[in-house]
Amino acid sequence: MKDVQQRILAGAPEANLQRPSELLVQIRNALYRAVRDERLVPKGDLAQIVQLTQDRNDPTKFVLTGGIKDFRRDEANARLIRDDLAWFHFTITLQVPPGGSVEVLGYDFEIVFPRSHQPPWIRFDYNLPGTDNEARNIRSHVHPGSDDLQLPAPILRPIELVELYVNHLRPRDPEKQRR
Amino acid sequence: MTIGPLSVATWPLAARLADVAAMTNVWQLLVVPEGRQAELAAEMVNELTALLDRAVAHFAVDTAMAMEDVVRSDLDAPLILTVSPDFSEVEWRTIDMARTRLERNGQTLLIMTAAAVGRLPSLAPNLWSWISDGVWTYAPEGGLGADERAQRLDSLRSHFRFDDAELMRRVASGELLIDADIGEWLVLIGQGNLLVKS
Repeated sequence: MKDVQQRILAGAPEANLQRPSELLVQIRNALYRAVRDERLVPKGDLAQIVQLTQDRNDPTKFVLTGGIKDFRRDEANARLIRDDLAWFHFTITLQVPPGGSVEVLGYDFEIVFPRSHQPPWIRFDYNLPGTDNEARNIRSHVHPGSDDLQLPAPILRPIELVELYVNHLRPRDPEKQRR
Repeated sequence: MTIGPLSVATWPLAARLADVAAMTNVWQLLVVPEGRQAELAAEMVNELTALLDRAVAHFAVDTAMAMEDVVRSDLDAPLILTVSPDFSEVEWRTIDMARTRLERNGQTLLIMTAAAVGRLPSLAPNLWSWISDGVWTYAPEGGLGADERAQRLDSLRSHFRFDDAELMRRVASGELLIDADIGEWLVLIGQGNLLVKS
């Protein structure tokens, strides 16, 4: 899978952002529009649900979080809830080198579907660089409802993942869902 | 006097203004630190424009006549007004006498320093009666609060079944696959320097 890994990394998009707060605003704006279009029914205030936190010791590192982190996928912790009751949460790790622009070091974006939906959830992971994980894993992959299975995935911009989850990752025909 | 007991950053305020876009003659005031009026006004314009999907007018005014002119130039557009700290007592009294001429359909956000706002309720009581329910003091966002941070860290520690010291040991030894969860954990405990060399 080494070639696949190299091809995926070669296609990594530039963030094209000078400050992490620009990404925060970009994501909040997309979510706000989704609320206005009745595609998203958040539980709480978007400004509280989506936040940017700087490392208190290393000012070049940031984490941008959306929703509550709950590995058990308890729907009581759903915050970014779609109109069809699917819900998602995410974590984006960012770096801004001195004098440089924003680099997305890694992310995970998980969407949990309503009960009885198959697969029950999907997660896009983009692991961070700098460890030997590249020998063991494809850094950018998607879990199709199982932590044991990984499919190679393109590296997407965080805003593209938000738009994918809000607008596109839905049944083509909600009245006739395929197995 | 106490002004703007409610603190707010620019995006949450822009979202509040966008939420009430259908209401007429909404006046709000953002109190900002000395010297940051232009920068924060630009941020408000950008954020409100994106949320409303329409142009937001912005003017800096230093006289009553200038203020009345721009307020009346387009009664429907959302308007952000940076009011000069040099706005004199006479200017405020003039504006207040003309308050009915300032009535608009769109929202109006005044951006002023605390020193300039101090005299506003007494100099322009009629205008202040429009504004007084929407007075905000600018405060930058600080990210996750202590409770939210603790919840996320608890969730990470119980999922991975080790503590912060063990996390750092495993990261330093290179044995741990660093995914976004581990990245978040390191940043939240102030150890983001372990992620990659900056």
